This record gives sequence, structure tokens and C-alpha cells, in this order.
Amino acid sequence: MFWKNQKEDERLDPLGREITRRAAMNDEEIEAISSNIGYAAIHARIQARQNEPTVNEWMTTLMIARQAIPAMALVALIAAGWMWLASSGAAVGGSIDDALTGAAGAGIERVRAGGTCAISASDECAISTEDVLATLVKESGK
Amino acid sequence: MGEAVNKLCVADIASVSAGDEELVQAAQKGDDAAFEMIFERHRLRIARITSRFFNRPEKIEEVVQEVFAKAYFALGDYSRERGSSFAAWLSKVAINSCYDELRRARRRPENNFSSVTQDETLFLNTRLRDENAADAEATAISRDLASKLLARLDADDRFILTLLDGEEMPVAEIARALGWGVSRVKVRAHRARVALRRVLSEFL
Repeated sequence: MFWKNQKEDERLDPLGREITRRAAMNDEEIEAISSNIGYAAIHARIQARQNEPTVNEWMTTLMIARQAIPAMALVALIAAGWMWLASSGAAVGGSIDDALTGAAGAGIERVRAGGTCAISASDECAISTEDVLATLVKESGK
Repeated sequence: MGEAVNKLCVADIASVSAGDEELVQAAQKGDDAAFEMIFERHRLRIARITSRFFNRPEKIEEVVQEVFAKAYFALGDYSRERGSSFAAWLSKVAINSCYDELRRARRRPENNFSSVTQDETLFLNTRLRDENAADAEATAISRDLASKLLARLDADDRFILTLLDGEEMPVAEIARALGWGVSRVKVRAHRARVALRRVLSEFL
């Protein structure tokens, strides 16, 4: 297969080169075209370009920025949607079981108020289930 | 033929380079007559370069006008360039203008594939199958057919093949003229050859 393709390429490439060369015009034709081009047309082109109002650089920047507006708006929309989904998901997804077992707040535990601990992730400041039960029993005993 | 054209271009550059610098300096100072003289000296050479990429005379005229208009406004850049003659610099402007125009016109090609006649299809088929036909003048491909086949290629492919095979420019020179890397030119050339093979194999 490879050899067949290579052989075919070897046959097509010289023809391809010949085609590219043959597409050229001859000197007489080029001279005829060239002699038709007058300087007046070029001069007119130059004059027209010189008379074009120069666009302010700020305007150019604004024009470029304007092209970016749809992309930026799309990014902002996606970000807003994502944030809304995340916040509503947290509100709906948090179950009573999670609240009781503390699964939803894994890693962050409440700590004794008034002590040296504030919000902390360390074990020594955390309230254990036994502490909670003891407090409840104490409260109901009163 | 391509070699002859290329040699002619080199000879042209050598003959017109002498005296260009004075004219360019005068044109940079706003001397319109000097720029007109520059145009007269380089008109034929730029038309020759442009004719490699376009077939219609009106198109060639339009692109040549554009090349000189661009050159007029970019004359200041020329003085900053080191080691190249004005003729070489102007050729670079012409090649880049042709490239821009080809890319702009990629959706409205000058020729249509449907215009390849039945006779031409048969001729190509015979030519492609006959391995000894390459040297015979009787089986030479006409310019019209060659143009139609090249028109089937993407503008980028046609452009790179014209520079490589038509103008016989070395890869390094093409890279310099277009401000591309050598490897980019090689990759583009490879892609263009594959595309041309694909066009030709349709006639097998």
C-alpha cells in the first residue's frame, strides 16, 4: 500500500510542478498588462488614502473591546448561573440527618464559645457527641 | 520556463537597483516625481510577480496599483531595513499583497472546476496514465488548463506552490519574504503538494 502510494506520488508530483509552471503568463502578455497601468491611478489611490479620516487610537481600542462584549457577557452569565446553582443546591441538599450527624459540615466543627477556641478544624477544640448529650440531659434536668 | 522567469527577475533587480536609493530618499521627502520614477522602473517586474498569482488582467492591474500604494506609505520602513535592496523590499511588498488578496478572494475563485471540459479531462487522464508523456511537447498542459487546476486549490496552497515551483524561490527566501519560519513554509508546501495530488488523482 505504502509503495503503491509512493509510486503514485512520484508520478503526480512532476506533473504538479509542470502545472504550476505552465500557469504563468508569457512576457508579451505581462508587458501589455503592465503598460496599461498608469501612475495616475496609483496617485489617485494614494490621495484617497491620505484623505481618509484618521481613526482615533482610542476608537480602535473601543471597537476591538466591543467585539469582546458577547464573549464576556457569556462568561458572566455562565458564572452567575453556576453560583446560583451552587447556592440553591446547598440550601436544598442540606438534610436534617446531615444537620444532626454533622456530615455536611465535615472538617469544620463548632468549638466552645468563650474559650480560646474560635471556629477551628482542630480536634482538641471540637464538641463531641457526648458533650452535646450531656448538655441536653443537664438542660432537661433543670 | 520558470527558471528563465526567475533569472529574468534577478537580472531586473540588478539593473534597477542602481539609483533606486536616491529616488527612494527623494520620495520619502515627498517628491512625487521620484515615486513616479520608481513606479516606472519597477512596474513590469511587479506585474510579473502579480501575474503568477492572478489570471485576469484587470485583477493584476488592481493588485499592482495596490502594491505601489502600499509601498508609498511604507517607504519609511524600507530605510530601517538592513541588507536588502529596494527592489527586493518591493518584491516582498508585492508577494505579501498577493497573499492578502488571494486570501481575501478565497471564496470567489477566478476559475471554476466545472469549466474543465470533457476533452481536457480525457487529456489529463491519458497524460496521467502515460508515464513517458512528461517530456513530449505534444502532451504539454495548456496554460488555461493549468490555471483551472490550480484554481481548485486553496489560496494558501496555490500561493506556496507558485512561489516554490513557479518562481523557483528557495524555502529560506520564501520564509524571509513572508516573515514565516522555515518549518512553517515546509509544512505548508507539503500540505499544498498533497492537495495538488488529490486534485490530479481525480482525473486518474
